[in-house]
Amino acid sequence: MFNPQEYVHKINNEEHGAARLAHITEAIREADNAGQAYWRLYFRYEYIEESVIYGDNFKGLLCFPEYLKIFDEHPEQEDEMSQDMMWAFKWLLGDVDDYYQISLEQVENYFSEFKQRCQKYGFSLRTYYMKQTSFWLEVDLPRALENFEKFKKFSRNRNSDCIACEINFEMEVLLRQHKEKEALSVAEPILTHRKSCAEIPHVTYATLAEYYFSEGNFTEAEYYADLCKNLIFGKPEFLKELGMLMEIYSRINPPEAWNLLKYHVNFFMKCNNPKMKMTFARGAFRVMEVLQQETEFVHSSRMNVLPIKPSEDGWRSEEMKQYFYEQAKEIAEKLDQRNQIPHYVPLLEKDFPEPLSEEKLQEQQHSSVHGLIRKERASFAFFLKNSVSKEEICSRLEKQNISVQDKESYIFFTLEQDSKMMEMAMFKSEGKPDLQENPLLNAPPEMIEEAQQCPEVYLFTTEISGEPLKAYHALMRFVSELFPELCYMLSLSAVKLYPAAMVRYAGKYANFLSPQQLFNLYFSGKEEPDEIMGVTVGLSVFGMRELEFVGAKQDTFQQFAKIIDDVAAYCVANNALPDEGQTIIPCYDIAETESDEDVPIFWENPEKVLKHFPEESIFQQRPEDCVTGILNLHDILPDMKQPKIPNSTEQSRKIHLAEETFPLALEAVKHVKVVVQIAIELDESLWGEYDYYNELLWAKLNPDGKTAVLEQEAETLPNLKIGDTVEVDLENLIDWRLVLSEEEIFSPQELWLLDNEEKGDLS
Amino acid sequence: MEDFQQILRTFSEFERGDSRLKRIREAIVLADQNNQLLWQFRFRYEYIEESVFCGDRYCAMIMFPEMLSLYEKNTSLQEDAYISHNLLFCFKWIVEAAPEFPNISREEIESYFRLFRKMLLQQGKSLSIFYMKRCLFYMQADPALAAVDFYRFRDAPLDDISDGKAFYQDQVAKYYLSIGEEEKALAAAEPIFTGKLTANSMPQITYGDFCEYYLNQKNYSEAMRYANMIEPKILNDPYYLDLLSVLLSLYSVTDVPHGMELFEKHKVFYENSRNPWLKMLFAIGAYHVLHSAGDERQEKLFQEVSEAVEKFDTRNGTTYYAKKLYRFNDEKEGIFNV
Repeated sequence: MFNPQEYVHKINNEEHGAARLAHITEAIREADNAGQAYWRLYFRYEYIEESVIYGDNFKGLLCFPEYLKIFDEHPEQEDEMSQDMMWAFKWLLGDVDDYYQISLEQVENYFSEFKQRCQKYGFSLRTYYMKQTSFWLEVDLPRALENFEKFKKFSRNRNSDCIACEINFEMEVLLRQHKEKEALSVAEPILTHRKSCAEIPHVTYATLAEYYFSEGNFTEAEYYADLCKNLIFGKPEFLKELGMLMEIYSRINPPEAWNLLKYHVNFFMKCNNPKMKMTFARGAFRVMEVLQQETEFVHSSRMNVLPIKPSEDGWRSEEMKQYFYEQAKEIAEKLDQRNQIPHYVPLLEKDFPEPLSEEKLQEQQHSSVHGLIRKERASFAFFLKNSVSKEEICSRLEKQNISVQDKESYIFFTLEQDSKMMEMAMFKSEGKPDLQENPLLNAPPEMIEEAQQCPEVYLFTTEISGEPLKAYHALMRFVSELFPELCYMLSLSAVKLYPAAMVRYAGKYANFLSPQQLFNLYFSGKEEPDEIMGVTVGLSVFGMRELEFVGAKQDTFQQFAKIIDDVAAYCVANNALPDEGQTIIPCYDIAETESDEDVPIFWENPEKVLKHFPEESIFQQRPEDCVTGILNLHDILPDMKQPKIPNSTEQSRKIHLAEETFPLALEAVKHVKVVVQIAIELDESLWGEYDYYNELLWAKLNPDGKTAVLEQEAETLPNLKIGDTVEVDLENLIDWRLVLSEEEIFSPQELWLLDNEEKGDLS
Repeated sequence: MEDFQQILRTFSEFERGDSRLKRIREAIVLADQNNQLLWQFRFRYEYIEESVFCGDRYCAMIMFPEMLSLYEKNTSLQEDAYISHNLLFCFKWIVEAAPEFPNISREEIESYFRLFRKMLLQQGKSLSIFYMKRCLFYMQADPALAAVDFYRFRDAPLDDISDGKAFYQDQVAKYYLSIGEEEKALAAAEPIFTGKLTANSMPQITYGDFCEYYLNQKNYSEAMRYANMIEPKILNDPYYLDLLSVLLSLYSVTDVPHGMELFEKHKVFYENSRNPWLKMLFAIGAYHVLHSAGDERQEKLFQEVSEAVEKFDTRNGTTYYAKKLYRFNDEKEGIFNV
């Protein structure tokens, strides 16, 4: 007996691709035998979806006419199934372009059928015009734009592609018109990771890479190609994009292009989608064209899938080039013939684009460095105790196997961090940054004076890549090795001064730096009217928007400051890129209700806020030029009270630091008092009674380093008393302190203070 | 004119539940009289929210059609993204609550779901929450369709209409338990059990899922382990009549005096509740414990509960609740057949 539930489970527990398609085929057969319309349609839809999303859409295309027929035979299923059917139809329209076997007449019939069904089921024609635009975009731009204008007139409907796909589509249309700035502006939600789906940003990156490549801006092309490659490597459904990348890399990074070719050639052989095959073959042809100039033969067992016999020396490059060229050309001719417009053949015959001149490149980069949120370069100053020559610096770098380019006064070099490259530029400063004049630098006067007296200052700029805390850790580790004579490090971007001992400590322990140490807060305001604003300083070097508040008063601004500080710290710790309309963080509203309800904090356009909270709104007093504010779903500050920003990442970093540095505490226990904080689990029977599961207790560590004597009474554990001995290990360790004297108590976070000549180097 | 902002603030002065609902009801009347569209909508939203989270959802079910009609008649409300968002939130609660009322037919429930899906799509929202809630309904009405919805819900992205991640994980665990996939359920519940994910009613709801699963498996020691963790968190809270039912059924086997004590303490909530589903579930557990205690009230209760069970199962076209009522039949043959 047909058991649909069993098939649903079987299918969904199978890997995507061929294996899942096989299970669905079986389910379709059984559903047909059982004659159950719902399941006949359901499993066919699954089949089409699987083929389109995780394959080359060939099987889905073949299945669709049958699916449509069954759908039409069962009007009783319309309510439940029309949505699925229209999705499947939309996918079909998105793919007809790929198959030269589908004549223009058939394509037009499909479009007209789809249009009728849109009207029947009450969908607007937005998707219809979108698919028309896409169909003509590559081969007939005026016709595509005509449809694009109509597309814009209709609002989104329930048959629309997801927002990310629509944004990507609009970006593509703008790029075809060479409206780069507008295209980047439209694509901003994708480039800032606010919008994504199964195909986006992969396809967006590929499109941008291809655009910049064709414009000769190879730097940008490579940037987007690298991003795309990481997302699509090993995925057959992105064969077309892999072909696009191969074409780009064959010009700017041929080994990478060859790598892509050999790892994906088996997908190419299995693919049934002509356009995907053609694009891949074109890329492969470009790769072989370049490799042919370098080597007569290429070697890779992965090429065994090709219908070309290798000689003893490997595959002949010329022969491979010819093979892929012919493959691409055959399909290109057929597609051009079908479209009645020569486009793909000329594209294949076209030469590589020439790179832009330096001047042109700089001009372009000014407007388009990696989308519109520009990541500022981070700048640092290093104050050294002794003079160090530029030559000496270069020699130290080379000893660390870092290749150095010396361009007159600048030293350029590249540092690898978590397999990402950080480009560095360093030079010896003629003067010294004036620390005393900077109102943001909240450092003790003696530190500032000591820094000012240093005889040598090197300035240094780089782009921070990856997670901010990790990047700073890597940077500080590098700096403490490069400059043994370091006295202070100053972040010019965040206006923060770090003593050398702190830099060394942060370089050694990855969990030491807290997010707050990477940025600063700046406040300004006036007494009459009583108004204070605050802004973060230094987030832009991580590619984040600076956060700001306005309209606070003297008696409330600390509350605002705390929130903005917590939110910024969250962003830094989690590498979040907040922007208008985006939820930054769900936090807890601990207003009078003490509810645990999730309350997202996000940046919102103040106009919208005013609309919903017309009275007593703080935003009524906002200056006109202010664009962001904190909006709470329920109310607006200051009525909101203090939201609780989750900081579990911070807590766990603190515990990890305590664990990492515990050997130092064990060493110190021989000379000074060490107390440890340990977690003791509550008895299960008490779990409901308290909000927590562990009680944290302080105890004096014994010289054996494994036990400690309790110095604190337990609230929930009646059997434990002060003076009892408890076990200590890394499993239950939460924190520790070195007690040198009553005034001098050091935590893992402060241990760097001991790392100097006067107190002895504990590390 | 009335200061509606001020009225809104006064709600918090009232005790949660019936007295606050009464106050909001008065505010709705005022807003209607003054023809203040935004406030008419806003107060109805507050009313439904209060009924869902601090009541028995009965008032929410009564109020929602009014709210929906207000929204559908006024394009200014439809054009307002914030209002539309709030409507979707209410709709989410309603589609979950609708199956709790047996007088709402399966066709009506399904048409509610269709409308909910349409509105989600119109606003460009993920269908995750739609599939999640419908899966919950189909788990009692049609396991094959529940399976379809489960995978669609699991694979769809979460968005701002979706329930929190804790609820998402709980639903995944609940579903896996319903098909006997204990290991997968434990893996799904892990972030809830370790406290990584939390919400107002978590982890007790998830503990409840597992407690019932082990109860059905007749693994009473494991069920008791969960029961011990649940009980302190749900005492004296009418919101948890469904979890109390599981505990009562369990105690009818493991600790009858304690079950009776729990029943006596909470029967007032049962009597006052206007939610037929919560009432039925509580009565199932209560009947099990009364039966084990040999209490004379069992017969009357059985009459009530078997009628309710029949109503639900007839509406759903399954024997889902009858299985709960007669869950001990195999073990103590005939004992629970009256």
